[in-house]
Amino acid sequence: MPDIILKEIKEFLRDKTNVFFFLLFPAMLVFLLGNLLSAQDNADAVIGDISIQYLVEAKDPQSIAAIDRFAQALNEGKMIKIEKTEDVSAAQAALKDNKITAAVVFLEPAGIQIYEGRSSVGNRTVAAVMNGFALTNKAVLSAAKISPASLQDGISIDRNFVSTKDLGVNRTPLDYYAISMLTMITFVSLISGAYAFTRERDNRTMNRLIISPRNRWVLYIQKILGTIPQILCQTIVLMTVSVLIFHAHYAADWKGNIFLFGMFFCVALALISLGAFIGLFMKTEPTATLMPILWVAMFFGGTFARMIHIKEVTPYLPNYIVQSAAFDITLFGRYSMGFQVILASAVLFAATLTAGVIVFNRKEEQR
Amino acid sequence: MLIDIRMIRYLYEKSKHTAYIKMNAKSVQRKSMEDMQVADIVTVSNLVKNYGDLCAVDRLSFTVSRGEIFGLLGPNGAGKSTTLSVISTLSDYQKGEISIDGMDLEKDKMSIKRIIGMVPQDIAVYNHLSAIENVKFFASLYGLKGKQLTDAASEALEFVGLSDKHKMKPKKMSGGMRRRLNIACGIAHAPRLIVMDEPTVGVDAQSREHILNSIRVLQSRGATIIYTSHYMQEVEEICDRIAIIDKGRMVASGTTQELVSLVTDIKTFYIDTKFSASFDSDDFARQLKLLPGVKNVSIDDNVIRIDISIQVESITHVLEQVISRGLTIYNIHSEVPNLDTTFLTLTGHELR
Repeated sequence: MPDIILKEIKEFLRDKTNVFFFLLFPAMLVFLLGNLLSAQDNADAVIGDISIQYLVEAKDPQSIAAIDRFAQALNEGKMIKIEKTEDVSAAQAALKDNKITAAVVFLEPAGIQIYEGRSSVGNRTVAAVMNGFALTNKAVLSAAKISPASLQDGISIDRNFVSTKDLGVNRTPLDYYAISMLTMITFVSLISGAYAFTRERDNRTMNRLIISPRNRWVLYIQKILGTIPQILCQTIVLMTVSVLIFHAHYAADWKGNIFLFGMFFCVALALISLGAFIGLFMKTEPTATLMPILWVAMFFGGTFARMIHIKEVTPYLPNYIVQSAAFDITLFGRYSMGFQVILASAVLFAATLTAGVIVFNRKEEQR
Repeated sequence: MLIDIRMIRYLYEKSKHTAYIKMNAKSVQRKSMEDMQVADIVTVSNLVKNYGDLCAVDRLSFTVSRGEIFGLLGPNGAGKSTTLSVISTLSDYQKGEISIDGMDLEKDKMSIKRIIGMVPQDIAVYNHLSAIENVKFFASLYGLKGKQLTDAASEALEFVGLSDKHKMKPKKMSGGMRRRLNIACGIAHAPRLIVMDEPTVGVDAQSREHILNSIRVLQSRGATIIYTSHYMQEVEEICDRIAIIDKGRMVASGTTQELVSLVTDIKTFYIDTKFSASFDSDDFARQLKLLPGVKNVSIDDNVIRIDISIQVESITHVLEQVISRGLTIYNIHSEVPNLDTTFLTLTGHELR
């Protein structure tokens, strides 16, 4: 049994094309797509640093205290940098020079004037924050008018009211491509599977295997099993490189990551089995034939850019489904879709393995 | 070096064996084979193999004796490779019975696979594995493990003269070396029956000689070899018996001499001499015709042409007659029908 598996591993690792396409290339793509080609993503989705200068025109000490406390809370939260100024002209000049996101004037007796900057996202963010403050302040002032004592009972804008949970908003494009490249490399396993038999045909070694005293079904299964180390190798290398070198994130915990790894392993195994079955009939070079199909599927499946989504096509592509299941696991900790993918992979594996064994058993010698 | 010593011993034995057969004709040959504990290792009876509507092998029957080198000759598409494929368990067949080493091919396929080694026409090795890794891999398919496997692989490489190239990958080897590696991969598990499909295609003369010598050594070690080649001279030189097949059918089989005798019973000698003006060449021709085995004599322009029965092995008596008439012999050459002409006559076309 180990002889064929060992031979497959040696052949895989010694073929520089394999090492490049299955190990280095996907890792490079994670880096390239994640860092260099994601400028568009950054503009749309990443707000960046928010910096505000504020001027207080209000005279009421209670209002001044509330404003200062609000500014202090924002600074402590480290999400928005806000500093007090006495010169609205200087703030406006800084705004024009794009040194700050917005300038805010707390008016007398009430109201907030926002001077907007160049970033529309930044402007919306500042407006939302100031609206939140205004509503809260209004509620507090109303409560104080009705029952001043209630303020002394501890109603405040304590930050403990707010807690955060990572639903993916802190994710970077690198994390997206770490998943999409993992999907890509998994689907390229289809080609590896096809090579399992076309390579034997090209080497003219198929006949030597067939005349050896081993049952053909054993040979077939051993050839499939021989690709398992390759799947493990490519998946582990990509995940490790993405996390350790490019600092990408997969699932939030070990359980999620192991499940993710297992899901991709099952998908790869099924695709290798499918590829091997196709390879039994294939007369052409597998890469030349299958790669264009995979590229098209990956392009429309959002592997290379998440903006590409055609409602009538994308949701039905297998790579999109696998990718979605992976995002379900990594972003939201939901596993149901992952289980469905594993189940479908198992069915595909069993079906193609059975069909492959039957075909290989009946196959005449290669000429 | 080891091979060379074996070769010398083998060739010595072979020359003795050949001379013995020549002296005692067929009956002795049969006796000799029996002495070599001959039972037919391969028996093919009425083999029929079709590819769709095309009948590739049509009621083919032959036997291969244990320890012999058996040649299969035929033009392209004659059914040689198909026959080898069936014997090697690569292909199924529609009709007929095949027995290998006493086992039925249909019933004991797995046991038969264990005793067969195949050297395919195409070089069938893995380019990313070294020579020793290739041989070890193919030998391991036959159940060899550990030291036994390593020893068998090393011995096979030594046998084909590649032991010093054991770490070299096939893609860096010359064509001849790759051919030899191809052979090593087919024989490392010490098969009793070796099927060789044109193992010398496209190699230089030196490598061809090496391969042919190796095949003889394999025979001397007790292996039976079924051999096909397009090189007629090679087959004539190496094979003990030859079967000529054409269009899937057996045309003829036997030793080279037996096959040649099927198409002609004469061999022709030309003796260059010089006649004096008074020499009666017609009378001399009549006298030569009376000699045993001489079929025809013609004398023309100082050259005596003599057709002698192919059964006659010596022409000493003819030469004695020439010399006794005081003629000087300047040159002698002969036209002996070979396998080429035999093949052409039997099949109606050239081998290729």
